[in-house]
Amino acid sequence: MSRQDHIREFAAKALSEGRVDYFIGWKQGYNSSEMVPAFVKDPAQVDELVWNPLCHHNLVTFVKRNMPDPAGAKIGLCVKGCDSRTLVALLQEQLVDKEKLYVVGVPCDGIIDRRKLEKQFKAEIIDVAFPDKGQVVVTTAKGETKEFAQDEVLLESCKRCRYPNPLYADDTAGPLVEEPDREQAPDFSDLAEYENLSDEDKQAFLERVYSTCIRCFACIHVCPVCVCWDRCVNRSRQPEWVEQKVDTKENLFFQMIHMFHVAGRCPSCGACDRACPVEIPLYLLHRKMNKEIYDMFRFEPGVKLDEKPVFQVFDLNDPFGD
Amino acid sequence: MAAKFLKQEDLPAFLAHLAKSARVIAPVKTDGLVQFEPWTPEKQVELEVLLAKQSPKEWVFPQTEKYLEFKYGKVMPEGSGEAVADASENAAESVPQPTVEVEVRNEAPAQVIFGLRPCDARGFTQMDQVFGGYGGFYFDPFYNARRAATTLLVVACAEPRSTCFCTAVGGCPAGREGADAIFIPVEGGFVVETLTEKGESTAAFSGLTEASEAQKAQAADMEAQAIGKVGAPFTLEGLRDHLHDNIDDPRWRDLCMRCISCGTCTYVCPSCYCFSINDELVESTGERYRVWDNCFNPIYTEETSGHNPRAEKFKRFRNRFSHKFWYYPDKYDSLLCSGCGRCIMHCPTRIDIREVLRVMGTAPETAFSQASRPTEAKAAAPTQAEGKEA
Repeated sequence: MSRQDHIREFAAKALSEGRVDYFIGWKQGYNSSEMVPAFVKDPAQVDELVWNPLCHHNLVTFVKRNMPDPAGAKIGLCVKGCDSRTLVALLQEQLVDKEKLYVVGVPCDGIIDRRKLEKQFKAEIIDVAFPDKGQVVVTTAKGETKEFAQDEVLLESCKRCRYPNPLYADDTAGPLVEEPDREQAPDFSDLAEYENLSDEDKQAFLERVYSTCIRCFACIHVCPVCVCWDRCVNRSRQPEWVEQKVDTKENLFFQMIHMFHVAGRCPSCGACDRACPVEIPLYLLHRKMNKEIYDMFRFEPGVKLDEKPVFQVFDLNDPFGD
Repeated sequence: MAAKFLKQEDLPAFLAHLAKSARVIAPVKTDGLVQFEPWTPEKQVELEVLLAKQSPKEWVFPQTEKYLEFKYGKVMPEGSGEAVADASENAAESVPQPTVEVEVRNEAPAQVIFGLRPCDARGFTQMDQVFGGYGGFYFDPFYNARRAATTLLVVACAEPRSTCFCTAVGGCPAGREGADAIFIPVEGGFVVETLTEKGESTAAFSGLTEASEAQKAQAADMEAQAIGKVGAPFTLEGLRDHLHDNIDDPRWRDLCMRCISCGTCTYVCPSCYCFSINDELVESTGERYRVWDNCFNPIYTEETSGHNPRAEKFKRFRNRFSHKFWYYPDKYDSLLCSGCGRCIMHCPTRIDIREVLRVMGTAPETAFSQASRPTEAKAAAPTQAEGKEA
């Protein structure tokens, strides 16, 4: 039985038993190269749910404050390993009610970076197929077909994933995948290129990539651990902490606030990065923050339910940093 | 009208010719991202990627537009001496009077936008209604100054995307509406048709030749084929009335479930025009600017009292479609959508406007059987309750 079949079965059972009001999984979007969040209310509709390496959306977004409709609804949802860490982060802070959730964990072999695929073609991608495990076949509107190995086109966040199996789930869709060796410290070698830049070059790099920001706020709305919603400092007018003006300095300032506000709760799932319509590499700074926190406190966000987020703990032995 | 021909390899020379008398804005690729930017000879125009990330709206209706500068001061009443800078004076008979100097900024350099698509040009004509004083409403001097100084050189779409739906909203992959000239891709270059005086004078380039009969026939053929490639995903017929009648329909709540209430769809849209106004004041000197705002912003409709008539996500979601296809047409006799499909492509959860209009463009009982959706009645209850409160 495939993971997809497991998901459908768990969803149908939870819906027909009345355990949930609706179940959130993934389904096909406007074509077979795009998967989107699916909200299923009727057990007869569970066949629209799919599982494949395009299911990138972190569905925990839809259980955070102000998202459930009606408020207080009992919700079933699927989580991958990284998604489960954002859920654990919310649970650690009691920002969601465990009793209202039914969680199906989906062990994950890595998600495809669709933007990487897009860059390979000028024509529109209309289909992405997975004929064999680890094999990705892309078709464009012009009829071009190109094959990739899944490992070549993975999301950055998947390449060094330490938690491919969900850390919190009521049921699990199929067998667990092989766990990486967690005795080793997390591998942040992907940050070396950025870290090796001089201060001036870092500044120039950040200004260049953030200059395209249009302040649509997709990054913070999609962020599962960003919960202020309509009370976000970036929207406040009185006092006006951040100017509404769209320019590089203000854009960067706004993103820095986001980064610091989710520090210690953000496991760098990359949802912000994928939501950004102008392709700002938001993942980079969040990952950098994860590294700083690990180096200083040996803390990984969203891993243990009974752990407190690092910035909610005061410890006299905490290091001061540089 | 006499059609001309521009060879593909003469395009940079043509743009350089345009750049002599105006700023040229064209789609160029930077870091893998295609955006409309000021063109310079070292930049290559990217026309193979059908749609730039955003429409060229920004160049006529900038996201951030400073339009006033002001300075507060104090002046002594007549006969009591010079103006003073600070407010420390407090003599009873000579109280300083506050003054404010205001300077209006309205810069509208001549510009040519090349390489926008027919849907992008149509976005401008739709926005023109709201800023242009249509029906006796407000005439916006800033938008109109830029608009008058802008020439639109449209490139027709030979290969529409699967997300395109211009024909469903009355447009066409080679639509002329709003264009000053249209460039139709044919073998080895473009057949150029000038459509307005502005287009005529702008496109007066010595490198253009008369288009041959074969090239004109090829252009007509391309146009006919492109039209056939755009789907008809919903019908406008009856849509306005259905949106009106379905305002309390629970299907709105279902359709918006995956919406994250960001503003992406509105900021990539060629015709969304909402903005807010801000003052920045540092000591006594300030500026007033407007920035794009959007109806998905949770505080967009929040009133000073704290009441928000669109506090819930589904109401904001419903507004976007109702505005474009119901109340804007009622007020300005124009749709507010040109079918570019950018909102579908760039929505973080790929919400499909075509699906929304297909569903909401029907009466409730025909789209879904209410009986087969047990939780719907439950979801509908709060809406009715709110209706009573209001």
